[in-house]
Amino acid sequence: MNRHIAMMGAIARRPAGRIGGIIVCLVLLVAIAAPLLAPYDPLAVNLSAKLLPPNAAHWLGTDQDGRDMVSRLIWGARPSLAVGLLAVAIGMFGGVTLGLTAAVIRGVWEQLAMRTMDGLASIPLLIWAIAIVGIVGVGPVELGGWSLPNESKIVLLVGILYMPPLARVAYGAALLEARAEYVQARRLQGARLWPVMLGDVLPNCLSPVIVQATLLIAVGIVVEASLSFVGLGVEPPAPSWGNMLADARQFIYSGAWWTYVFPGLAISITVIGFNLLGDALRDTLDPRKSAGAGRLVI
Amino acid sequence: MALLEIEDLRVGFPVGGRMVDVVRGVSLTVEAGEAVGLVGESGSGKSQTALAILRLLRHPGRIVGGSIRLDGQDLTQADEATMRQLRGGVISIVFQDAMSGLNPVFPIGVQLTDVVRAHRGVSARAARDVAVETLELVGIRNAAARLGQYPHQFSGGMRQRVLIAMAVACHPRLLIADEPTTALDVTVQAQIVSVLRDLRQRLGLGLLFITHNLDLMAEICDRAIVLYGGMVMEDGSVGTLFDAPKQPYTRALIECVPRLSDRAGDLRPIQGASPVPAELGDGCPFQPRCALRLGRCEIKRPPLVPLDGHGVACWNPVI
Amino acid sequence: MLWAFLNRLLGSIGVLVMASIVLFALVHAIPVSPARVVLGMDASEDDIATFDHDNGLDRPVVAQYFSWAGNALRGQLGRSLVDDTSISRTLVQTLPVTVELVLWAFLLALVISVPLGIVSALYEDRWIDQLARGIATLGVSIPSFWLGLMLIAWGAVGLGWFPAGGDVPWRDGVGAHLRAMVLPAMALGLYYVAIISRMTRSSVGDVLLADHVRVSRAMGLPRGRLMVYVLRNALSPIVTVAAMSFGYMFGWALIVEHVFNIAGMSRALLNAILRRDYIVILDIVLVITALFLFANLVADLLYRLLDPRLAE
Repeated sequence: MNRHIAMMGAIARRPAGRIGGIIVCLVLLVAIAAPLLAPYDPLAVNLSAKLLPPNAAHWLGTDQDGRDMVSRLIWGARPSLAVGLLAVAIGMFGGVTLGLTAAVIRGVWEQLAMRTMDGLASIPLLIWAIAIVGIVGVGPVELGGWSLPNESKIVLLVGILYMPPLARVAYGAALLEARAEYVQARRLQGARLWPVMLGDVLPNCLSPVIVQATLLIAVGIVVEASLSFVGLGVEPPAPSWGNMLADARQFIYSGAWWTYVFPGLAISITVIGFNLLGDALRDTLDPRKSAGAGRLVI
Repeated sequence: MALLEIEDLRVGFPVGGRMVDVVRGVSLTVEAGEAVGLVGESGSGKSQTALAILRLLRHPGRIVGGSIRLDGQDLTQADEATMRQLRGGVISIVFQDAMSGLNPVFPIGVQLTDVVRAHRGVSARAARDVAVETLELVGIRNAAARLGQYPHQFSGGMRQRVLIAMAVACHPRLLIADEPTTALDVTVQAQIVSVLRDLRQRLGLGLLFITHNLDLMAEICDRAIVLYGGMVMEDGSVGTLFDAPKQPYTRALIECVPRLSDRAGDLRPIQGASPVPAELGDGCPFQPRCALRLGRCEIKRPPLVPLDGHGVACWNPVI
Repeated sequence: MLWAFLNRLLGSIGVLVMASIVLFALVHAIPVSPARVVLGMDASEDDIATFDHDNGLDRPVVAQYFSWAGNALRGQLGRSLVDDTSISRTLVQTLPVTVELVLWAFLLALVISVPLGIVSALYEDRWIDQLARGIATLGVSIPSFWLGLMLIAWGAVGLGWFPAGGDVPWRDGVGAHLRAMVLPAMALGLYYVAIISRMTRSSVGDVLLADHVRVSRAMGLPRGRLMVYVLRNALSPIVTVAAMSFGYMFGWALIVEHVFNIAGMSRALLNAILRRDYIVILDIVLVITALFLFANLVADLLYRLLDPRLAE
């Protein structure tokens, strides 16, 4: 516990970390408290108030159906963040399990797991996201009695494709830790394998995994926005920053700048926040790595 | 005039707003063709002195005082272009890092000829000939064939020889060897020292041999300078220094080297710990650990004065 | 080294095959059959059966897969079931367009990012480095499609220097075509300027601290030669990241094409999705996946070639 507090302190000391942390907290807060914060109903059409520039009643203006931009932006945070966070959660769960077990059990399982991860890493994320949603179709998923939103397909696919980078990081860290003397010492003392793995090795592997995960959240947000932009994500009228931009495209020529500037700004600021936080985490937790080395190209 | 004349050299690093000196007024000379040993423990300032001569101090460290004269010309005032001509051409240095000192992606032949061509306007073929000749001089057989090989194809000792070859290829007048054998196996150490001795004879090189290993130094050097806490403690010919050390630190240093005749339990370490440059005051740096210390040792630094053929910096030397 | 490379090659082919199987299975697992797509949702059972038989859709899935795969390997990607156009022809028409966009963006990215990264490393912490790092953080965070929209708003609508659409064919004039490529290339490339410049900075920065660089300085090598020594060492990670970036660019190129109305593979893909032309979707995705795998293979090959220690 103390270590986590110390870590947060270290991050807060860096300007980049502070800014990133604040942005992330704010965006999360906005998404969670959307019903409380949004001044208007994001779906409320009001054709007499179409395309109003920012004014006293609508601080960021209205869109082509008279809906309030502020409310739509607030609610639009949800799908992007949901995809980013949930996909990473799936990726971490699967990836860390695979990487950790591969590093500890070694042998055939190690080869199998890591080679599968290598194979999966060779799949281009965005194309496949488009293709899978394209093939399966846009729309809710009926599963048993449950109706999952369209985004769940994206979350699942992106989550699976996030496993390789997270598995690799966990694997590398676990290999180092498993060889560390304190683990050998514990084994010699008679401790059994799994408690040692979970209790000693896992916490030390988590740091680089968390760094990678934070950066992947940022990617997930952009992937969701891109899919919504081309019509494969959140279906209108429900707002997503991506589909708001798709609607706003036409207004580039007619000057309603608030319709296309603000959603994009929202995405960019959120992503900057996660990236800054990720970089600050990396500098704090893993100072050996130089700035460019740890980043995954996407 | 001496080949190299260092007078009151001070090298410092800015730490938290103030300048911390790691070389605190070092004076020494090396005559042409002479082999001088610079002895001291880690942190005594010997490597920084060497780097200062070539103006290769790692930023933000810098020379804050004193002069370094090569044939009378003060190197501390020279510009970068002049220094570049001197480095490798007139004064060369060989570092400790034999394993990582060569560029891994270029063949050694290229690295050697590049040094030759940097200082001599010769053709590629002539440079190649010089390279082969120098490699043979340092004892690498089959030199011509090995020019195309990469550093990873050489052992540690061989790599150090290549580095020495690079350093002497242009027949410099002074070679600085900064702990050239420390990272190598004991058997290889002796080989390298013998290579250096050989080179001195053949090329008439002046040598500044930096080490913490007294015995190794004694094999190759005529004179020795003992450094501690960034200051010269004693300086004199190797023979007299070993037979009759006058400075308490020199004495303790010689004493603490284990001898074959010692029995178990006969270790004679120097009590206390190495000084931290930032914490050194105005007095003698060795006084906290000195068995012969006086009151004034803490207050004022002893100057380096001649005493029976040595230079000694001590208020209470051993007579 | 040959073995290691062949190993990777086989691995990549394996991934491609697995990918094709997964997609094929997915296409056949969904409830809406091509028959219904073409004939309409209320087609009779008989019509559907005839359609399926005529198009070989009533054979077992495995047989269909092998026949598709066999044809694909021979370069015959079949015909679209929806509008009967040749898929190969569609690809031949659209692939070069996408490849061209990626090439321009890649070139732009390299030309800016590598020098920027080198200068950043040489003048660490001075203003140019701060600026480069700032650009990198922004570049990595701004989504390319929004950047595209903003560039259109500024460059095309605002300043009027560039066309709003990128779809200007070569025969309309070299100048016009190139001008149309500028904004899309910028939109696609900025992210990679950030990534590559960061990697360049860190790689060059690391090499500058190396022992052998200190030795080279101590030998009095001229500055030009010193830079060659440094850069040659720093090259490997930069080339790897650049080659991988090239592969990733294909994905984002599709989004940028959509923004700029460029008739590349994005149009073919998105149309196919709209029309539920499943085999077309499959073929396009596999082609792009193959390109991606190829880019990664090239990255691996270059990495091995550049480091003599690995070239054994």
